[in-house]
Amino acid sequence: MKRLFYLNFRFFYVIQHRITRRLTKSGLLAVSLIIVSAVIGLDTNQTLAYQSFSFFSCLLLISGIWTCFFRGRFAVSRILPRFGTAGESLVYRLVVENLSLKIQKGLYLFEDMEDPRPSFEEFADTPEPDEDRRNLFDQAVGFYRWQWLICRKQGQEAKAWAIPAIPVMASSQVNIEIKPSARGYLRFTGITVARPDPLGLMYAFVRIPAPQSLLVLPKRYDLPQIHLPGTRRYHSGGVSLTSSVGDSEEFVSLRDYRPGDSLRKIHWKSWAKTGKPAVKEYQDEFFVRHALVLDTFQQAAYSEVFEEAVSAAASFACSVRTQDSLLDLIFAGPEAYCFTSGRGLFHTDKILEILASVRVCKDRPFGALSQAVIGRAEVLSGCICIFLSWDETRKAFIRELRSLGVPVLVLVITEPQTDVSPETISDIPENFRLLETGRIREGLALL
Amino acid sequence: MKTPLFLMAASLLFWGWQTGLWMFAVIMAFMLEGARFVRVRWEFSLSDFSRIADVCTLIFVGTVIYLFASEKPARIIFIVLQWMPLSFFPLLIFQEYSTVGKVDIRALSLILRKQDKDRNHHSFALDLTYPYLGVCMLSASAANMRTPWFYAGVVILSVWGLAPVRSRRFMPAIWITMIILAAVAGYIGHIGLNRLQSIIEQKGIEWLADSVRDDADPYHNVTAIGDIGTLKFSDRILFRVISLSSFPGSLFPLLLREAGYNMYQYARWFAMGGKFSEIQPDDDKTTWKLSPEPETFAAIRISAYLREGTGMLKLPAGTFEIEDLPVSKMERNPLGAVRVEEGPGMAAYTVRFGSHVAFDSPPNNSDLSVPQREISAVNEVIRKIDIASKPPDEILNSVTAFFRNNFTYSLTQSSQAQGITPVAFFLRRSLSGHCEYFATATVLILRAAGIPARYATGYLVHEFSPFEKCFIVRERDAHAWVSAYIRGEWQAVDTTPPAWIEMRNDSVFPYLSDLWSWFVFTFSDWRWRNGEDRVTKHSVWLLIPLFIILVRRLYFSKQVKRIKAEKPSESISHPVPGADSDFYQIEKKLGESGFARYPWETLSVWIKRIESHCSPDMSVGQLYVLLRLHYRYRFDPEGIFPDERILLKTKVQEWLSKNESTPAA
Repeated sequence: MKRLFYLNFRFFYVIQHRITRRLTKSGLLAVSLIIVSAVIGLDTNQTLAYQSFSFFSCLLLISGIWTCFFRGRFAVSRILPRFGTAGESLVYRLVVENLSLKIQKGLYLFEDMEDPRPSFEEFADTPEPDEDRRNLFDQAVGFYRWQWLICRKQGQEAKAWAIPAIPVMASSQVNIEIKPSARGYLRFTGITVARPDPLGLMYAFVRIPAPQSLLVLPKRYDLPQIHLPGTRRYHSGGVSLTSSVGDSEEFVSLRDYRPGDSLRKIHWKSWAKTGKPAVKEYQDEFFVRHALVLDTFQQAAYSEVFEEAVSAAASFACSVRTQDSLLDLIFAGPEAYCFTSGRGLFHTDKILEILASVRVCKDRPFGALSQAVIGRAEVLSGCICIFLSWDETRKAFIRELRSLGVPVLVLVITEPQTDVSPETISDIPENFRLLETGRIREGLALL
Repeated sequence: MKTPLFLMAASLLFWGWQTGLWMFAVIMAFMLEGARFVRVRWEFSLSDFSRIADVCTLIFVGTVIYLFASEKPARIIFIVLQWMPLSFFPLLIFQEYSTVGKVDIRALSLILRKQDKDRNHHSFALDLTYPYLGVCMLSASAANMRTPWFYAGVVILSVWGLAPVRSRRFMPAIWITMIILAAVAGYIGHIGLNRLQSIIEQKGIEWLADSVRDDADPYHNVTAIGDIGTLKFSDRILFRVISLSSFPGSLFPLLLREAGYNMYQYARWFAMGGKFSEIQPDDDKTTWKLSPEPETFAAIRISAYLREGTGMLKLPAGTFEIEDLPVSKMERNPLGAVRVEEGPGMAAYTVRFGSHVAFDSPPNNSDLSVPQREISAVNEVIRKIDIASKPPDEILNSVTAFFRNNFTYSLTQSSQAQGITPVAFFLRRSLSGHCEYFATATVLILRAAGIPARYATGYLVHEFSPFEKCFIVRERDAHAWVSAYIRGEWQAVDTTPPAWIEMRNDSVFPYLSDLWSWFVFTFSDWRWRNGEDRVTKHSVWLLIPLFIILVRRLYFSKQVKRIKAEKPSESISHPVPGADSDFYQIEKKLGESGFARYPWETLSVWIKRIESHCSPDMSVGQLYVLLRLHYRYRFDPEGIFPDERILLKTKVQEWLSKNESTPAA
C-alpha cells in the first residue's frame, strides 16, 4: 500500500512539476478557471459557466500551439561560489549567450535541479520530523512526509528569472538568488530558457544541459569567546605527525638506539650504514589539542536534533581558534573518522565540507565512537561532545573520559520539553548544556 | 492594486448586471476602485486577515443556511454562486486598503494556520484581485442570463485582465489576432458544447429507456395523452418478421397486437376482466393452438427477444396457432393478450392466422362504455359527422374520413387542455395528436355510436430490410389502434393518418445501429436455436483453450531453464594472418633438436638465446633475415608482397634442407 502511495506521489509530482513549469501565473489562473467553470457549467442549461470554459480553453489551446514554435539557441555558463550555507540566501551569476541570429528579449530562465523525488526506500525509512503527531491517516498515506522530503531534497524554490534582452551573438548576465534549505550538495543539471507566448499564459522551452554542484554548508551559530578546558599536551612528532600520517619536518637529529625506543623511529638506512641501530629524534612539542565529538547515532535517517547537532559542531569548528591549537573532529559513519584541523594542517572550510555531508549512523553502536575518542585521550587537552541523547552509554563515555583526566564540555541537543537530567556530571554543571531545537542560538550564547 | 484601472469595477458591475444585484455591485465597485485614490492604508497583521477570512467564511456559510431554509434545494447552489462575490468582498477590501496589498496564504486556510502553529512552514502572500475577478465571472454565469452579452462580457474582462501580462516580445497585432481567434473559437465551442449536451441527454434517455423497456402491461396502459412536449422514439430493432405465405405483399403492412384494453379513465387504459387463463400445448410442447383452424390462413415467423424468457407475444388478429415456441407456460386473456413464461432468451416462432377466427372474447357492456367526462365532446363529433343510427360500416367509414380529413398527426403537444379533458381538447381544439389520441378518440366515438370497441397496442410491420431479407420492427413502429366488433367479429381499425410512419423516421445513424442489431440478432439466433442456451451449454468447451493458455503461462513462468555449460568448441579457429608461415617449420625443427622455445619467449629472444648454443653449421644467424620477413608476414597489416612470400618459403626450405642432417649442437 505504501508503495502504491509512493508511486502515486511520484506520478503526480511530475504532473504538478510540468504544469507549474509550463504555465505562467496567468496560465495557472486560467487553468483554475477552466476547471471550476467545467464543474459549475457541467449542465449547460443551468449556468453559463460553460461559455467561460470554452473561451479560456481556446485561449490556452492557442497558447499551447504557439509554444511549439520556439527555436532559440543559447549557451549558458553558471558562476557559482565555493559554498553556500543552509537557510541563507546565496547570489550567483548566470551568463546566457544568444547563439541565434535574432535579438532575444522577454525571456525567462529556470534552474533545472536534480530530480528531488526520493527513492521508495528513502520514502519508507525517513519519517518527517514530528510525524507521530500527525493523525493516523496522514501517517499511513505519507503525503506530508513526501512533501517534506521533496522540499528538503529540492534545495531551493523553482522560480522563473527574467533574462535581459540579449543582442545577436552576445551574452547577458542574470543574477540569481537562491536560499538552500538544507546542507549537502545542491546539484544543478541544466538551464531551461523559457519564452512566454504572446498571451502570457504558457512558456515554450529550450533546455541546455549545465551540470554543476554547490556544496551547502550547515547552518552555523555565533559563539561567544570560548575558553575550552584543558592544558597543553606533549605531542610526539610535532604538528606534522599529529595527523598520524606523513613525514616529519621537525626532524632534529639521529641518536643511538636505546631499549624501549619505538621501532617506527629506527632509521634503517643509518643502521645499514653504521652497523648499529640508530633512531630519529624529533623536536618535542607541547600544544593544545581539542576533540569535537559529534554523535551521529540515531535510527531515523533525518531528525531536526541531528541537523542542529551538525550546526552546533560547525559553529564550534568555525569559532575555535585553531592558529595555536588543533581541533579533531571525530564522528562515526561506516567507521570512526577523525579529521584534524589547525596550525596549518587542515583548514576550517574542509571541516565544514565534511560536516555538510555527514550522515547519521544507524548500524553501529555508540561504542565505535567512544573507543576512537578514548584511544586518543592522552593527547587531548579537552573534549567537546555534542550528543543527540543522554543515555547510559554516553554517560559512561563521559565518565571514562573524565577519569582519564580529559576535561569535557557536553552539549546535548534535545527536542523542546525533553526531560534530561545531568546527574552524572553534577560536579561540573557549567560544562553540561542542554540545547533545545529551535533555541540553539540562545543556548550556545550562554556558553 | 495590480489590476488595470477600473477592471475590478467593471467586473463587479458585470456581475451586478447579470445577477441583478446592481446596488451591491455599484457600492462595491466604488469601494474597490476608491483604493486607488484614497491614500490611507492600514497595517493588518496575519491574525487580522485570519479573522476577516473567518468572517467571510461565516457570511458564506450563513448565506447557504439562509438559502437552504428559504429556497428550493435544487436552486441553492446557483444562488450561492451568485452571491459569492458579496461573501468574499470583505477580504478583498481589507487587502486593498492594507499596506501589504496581499494576503498571506495562511490566513485563508485553517489547516495551514494549524500547521503554522506546529512548526514553521513556508508561506507566501497572494494577491486576491485576479482570483476575485474569476469569482465575479463565474458568479455572473450562475445567473444564467442567456444572452450573447455574457460571453462578450467574459471576453472583454479577460482581455482587459490579460493585457498587462502579454509578452512584449511580440507585436500587439499578434496578441490581438490570438485574442480574436480564441474569442471566435470559444464562441463556436460553447455553442457546440450546448448542442453536445442536448445530444448526449437525448441519447442517454433513449439508451436508458431502451435498457429498461419492458413489454406492454396487459392490465394497464399509461398513455401519453395530455402530456406536453415531444414524444421520442428510438430506432432500435425489436423483432423481425418473415412471411411464410405465397404472397407476402398482400399481408403487409400488418398490425401485431401486444395487448388490448377495454376501459378508459384519465388518459389510462385498463383491461377489465382481463384475467389470464393457461393454454395447453400439443404433445411436442412447442405448438400452441389458440382457436380452431379456419379454411384460409396465412403464416409468419416472428423472431423476438424474451426478457428472461418471459414476455408478451406480438400476434396478428385472427391468430389460431403458434408453432416452434418452446416455452413452459402460455396464457391468454379475453382481450387478446398472450403471455409466455420460462422460455428462451430469444424465440423464433411461427404464427398462423386467418379471418373469422374467434380469438378475443365477445363484446360486453364495458366495450360500449364512454366515460362521463368525455361524453359531451364525443357526442359533439357524432352530431357533427352525423353517424347516429347508421350501419356499422358507414359509421366506420365516416369516422375514418373524419379523422383523415380534419386531423393531423403530430408528436408534439405545445399546449395543455384547460378545463376540458385531453381527448376533448384533441377533438375540439388541437385537432392534432399522436396515435394514442386517434385510437382513444375513435374507440370512444364508436362506442358512443353503438359499436363495441377496444383499444389495442402493438406494432405495425411495414419496413422490409433488403439486407436481412425480412421485415424489421423498430421501437418507433409502436402503435395504438382500435379493435371494433363489426359483423360478428373483431376488426382492426386504424384512424391515425398514415403520415405517422414518415414522421417518426428521424434516425441519425440507422445503418450502424442496424448492423449492430443484426450482429446481436444473429448471435442470439444461434445461441437460442431449438430453445436452449448454446452459450451456457458449450461454455465448458470455451474453458479448454483458457485452460491451455493458463497451463502454458504457468508452465513458462515457472520453468527453470537449464543452462548447460557448453564446452568451448575445439574446432573453432580464428583466422590468424601469417599462421601458415613457413618459419614455424624452422621452429619445429629446432624444437625437435632440443632448442624448444619457451611459451613466454618471442621468436627473436628465442633465436638470440639458442644462437650461442647451436653449432655454427646451422647458420642460425641467417634466421634473423627470415624472422624479419616472417614478422612482416605475420604482423604487418599490409602483409608482404607475393614474391616476398615465395622468397620466405624458398629460404625456409633451403635452411631446412641444409640443416636436415646437421646435428643441433
